[in-house]
Amino acid sequence: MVTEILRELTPTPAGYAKAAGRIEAGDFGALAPMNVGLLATFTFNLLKPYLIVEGAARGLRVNPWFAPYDQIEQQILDGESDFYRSRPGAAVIAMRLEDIAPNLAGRFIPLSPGEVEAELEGVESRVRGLIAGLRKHSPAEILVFNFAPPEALDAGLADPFLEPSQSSAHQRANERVAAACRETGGAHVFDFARLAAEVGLGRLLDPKMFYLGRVPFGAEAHAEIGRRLARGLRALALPPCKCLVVDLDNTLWGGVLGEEGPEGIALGEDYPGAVYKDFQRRLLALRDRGVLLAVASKNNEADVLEVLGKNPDCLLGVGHFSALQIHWSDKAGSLRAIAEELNIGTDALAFFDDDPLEREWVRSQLPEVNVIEVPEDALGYRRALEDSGAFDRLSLSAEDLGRAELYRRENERKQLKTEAPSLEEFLKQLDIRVSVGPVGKDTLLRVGQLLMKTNQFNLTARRHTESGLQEMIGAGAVALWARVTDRYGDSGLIGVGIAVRDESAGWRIDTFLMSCRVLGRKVEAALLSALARRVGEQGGRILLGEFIPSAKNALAAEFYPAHGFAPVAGEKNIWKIDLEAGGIPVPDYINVSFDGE
Amino acid sequence: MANRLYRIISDVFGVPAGEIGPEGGPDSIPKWDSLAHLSLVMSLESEFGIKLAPEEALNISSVGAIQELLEKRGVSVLEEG
Repeated sequence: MVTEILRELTPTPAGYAKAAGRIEAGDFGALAPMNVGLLATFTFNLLKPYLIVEGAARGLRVNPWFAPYDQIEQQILDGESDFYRSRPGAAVIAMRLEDIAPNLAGRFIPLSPGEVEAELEGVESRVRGLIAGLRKHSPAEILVFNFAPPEALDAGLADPFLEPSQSSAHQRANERVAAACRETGGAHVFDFARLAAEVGLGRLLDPKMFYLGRVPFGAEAHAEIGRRLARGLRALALPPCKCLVVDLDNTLWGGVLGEEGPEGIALGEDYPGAVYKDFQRRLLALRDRGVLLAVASKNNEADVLEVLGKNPDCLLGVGHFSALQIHWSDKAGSLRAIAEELNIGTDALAFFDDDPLEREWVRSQLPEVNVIEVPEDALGYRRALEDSGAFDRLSLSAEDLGRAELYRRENERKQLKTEAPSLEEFLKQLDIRVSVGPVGKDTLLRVGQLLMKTNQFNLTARRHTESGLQEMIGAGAVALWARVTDRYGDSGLIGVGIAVRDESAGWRIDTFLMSCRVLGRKVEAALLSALARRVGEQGGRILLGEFIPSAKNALAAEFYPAHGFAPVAGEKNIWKIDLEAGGIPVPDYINVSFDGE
Repeated sequence: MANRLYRIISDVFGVPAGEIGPEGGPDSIPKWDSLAHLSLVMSLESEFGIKLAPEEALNISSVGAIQELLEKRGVSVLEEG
C-alpha cells in the first residue's frame, strides 16, 4: 500500500530514494499515472525521488523524464525529440534567471533602463517561444518556473535606491513569465519565487552541489520543490474540492460551546481567540475564491446560531455557509447530506475537524472525501489548510478545463505554427562560438580532469594521466581542446579530442569527449572537424574513429557514422573517414576559431 | 547492529545491503554515476549531520573511503536494532 510506504518514509535523501524505488516497483492501481517531462537550464534530475514520493502522496503515479542538461529548446522545438517520445502529460520548464539573463542576475549596474527593458523582453520572448513551440507539437499541460530573487544584489545595500532596482527587475521578469503563460491555454506559472521566499535563499541554495554538478539546490530544497511541484501536478490532473466542511468547537473557535456557553468560547483579538479569528479570515478568503463553506458539528443548533448571529468576533455568519448540519448524529451522514443539498459529489468535499476520531470515522466511511490532517495546535491550522492543496487551482480561469479547453488548444496549435522559432533559428540566435586549440601546459590540468570525469559523451573513456598526455603530445599526437561561449555566457573548456598516428601509417582518434553541459548544439561536430583538419595538415589521409562501449556512454555510440565516417569491414565499433575527400561539415550557426598559435 | 552507511548506499543505489562491502564503488555498483554520487553526498550529509568539503565530496569514490572519512569525523556507522 502506498499509505504504508509513505508512513515509513524517512524524510532524508536516502529515505526518499528508497520510498521512490518501492513506489516505482509496485503496482498501485489507485494512483493516476502521469508522464512528466522536466526541462531545465541546470541539473534537475535529483528531484526524481521527491517528485515520485510527493506525487504518490497526492494520488499521482508520476513518471518523470528529465531532459539532458540545458537542452530545453533542443527538446521542445524538435517535434521528433525524446521529450515528445516520452509522451508527456505535463511539461515542466525550469530556468534560472542567472542562465537566461545573466546580466539581469549578475551584471546589473551597467545596464541602462532601456537595456533592462530589453533583457526583460528577451526573457519573455524566450518563454513565449518555448510555450508556442511546445503547443505546436503537444497538448501537454505546461508549468513554467518563475525566478527566485537574486542570490546577491550587485549594488548591495543600495539596491532599493537603484531605478529600477535589481529586485524589482526580477519581479518584473516574473510578470513577463506570467504574461507569456497567460496567452496559451494550459500554460501555468510555477511560483518558484514564492517557494524561495518561504524556504529562504540560504536554505534553498547549495553552492557546493552547484559547483560540483550544476545542482543549484540542497536536499531540503529538493523535498520542498518536490512537494510543491506535486501539488501543481495534482492541480493539473484532478479537480479541486468544491466545498470545505468545517467543525466548530476548537476549529472555528476555542473551547466547547456546549460547556463554556456562547460567552465562554475563545474568539477575539487576544490569544487564543485571535488565532481562531484569523483562521476564520482564511476561510473567508477561500470563499472569495469560489469555495463553498459548510458546517458539520455536534452541537445544540440554538447555541451555534446565537454565536454565528450575535458574536461580533465571529466573522463567519450563517449567510457565509451554504449548508449547516448541526446535530448529534454521525458526521459521515452530515457530509452526505451536505453533498446532496449542494448537489455535488462527496468526492468534491474537504473536511476540516480538530478531532482525530471524527477524521478517522469520515475517512473510513467516505474514503473519497479529502480529509485534511489537522495539527493539535490551532496555530498550525492555516498552514494545514493551505498545504492540503485541496483547493489548488493553477489559474482562476481553469473552471472550464476539460473537453472544450482541449479543443481550444488544438486550434491554438494550428495557429501557433508561425510563431514558434525552429530549433535551427534558435541555435542560430544563440551565437555559439567554439574556439579550438592545442593542449599545452596551461590547459593540461583541465584536460586531465575532463578525461577522468567525463562518462557519457566519451567515445573511448581512456583515462590518460597528465604525464601520459604530455608523452603522447611529445610523440606527435594531435591533442585539441574546445571552449564554447554563447550569448548566455562562457561554458569554458568542455571538449577534448586526441588523434595519434597508428602503426599502419593512418591516424586514429584515441580520445574524444565532450562535457554533457554543452551537448545538443553540435559543438562536438566543430571539434571533430577541427581535429580532422589538423590531422590532415600533419599529412594524415585516413582517420579512424573508435567507440568503446561502457556502462554510461551509449549516447555517443552513433557519433562517428553520424559525421560521415564509414564502417570498417569486420569491425563493429571502428569507423574511418578519408580526409582527402573533404572535411567534416560544421553547422553554419557555429562560429569556429583556432586559438593558441 | 546494522551498518547505517550500507543502508544508505543500498537506498541510494538500489542494491541489497548484503552485497555491499568496503571495496564497492562506481565500477561495481551500476547506478553509481556522477549524478547519483551527488545524491549520495546529500544523503550522507543529512543522515550523519555532517558537511563535506567539496574535495571530500569528490574523493569518496568507494564505500571504504566513505567509512574512513566518517570515522575521521568521529561518526559511528553502526546503529542499534
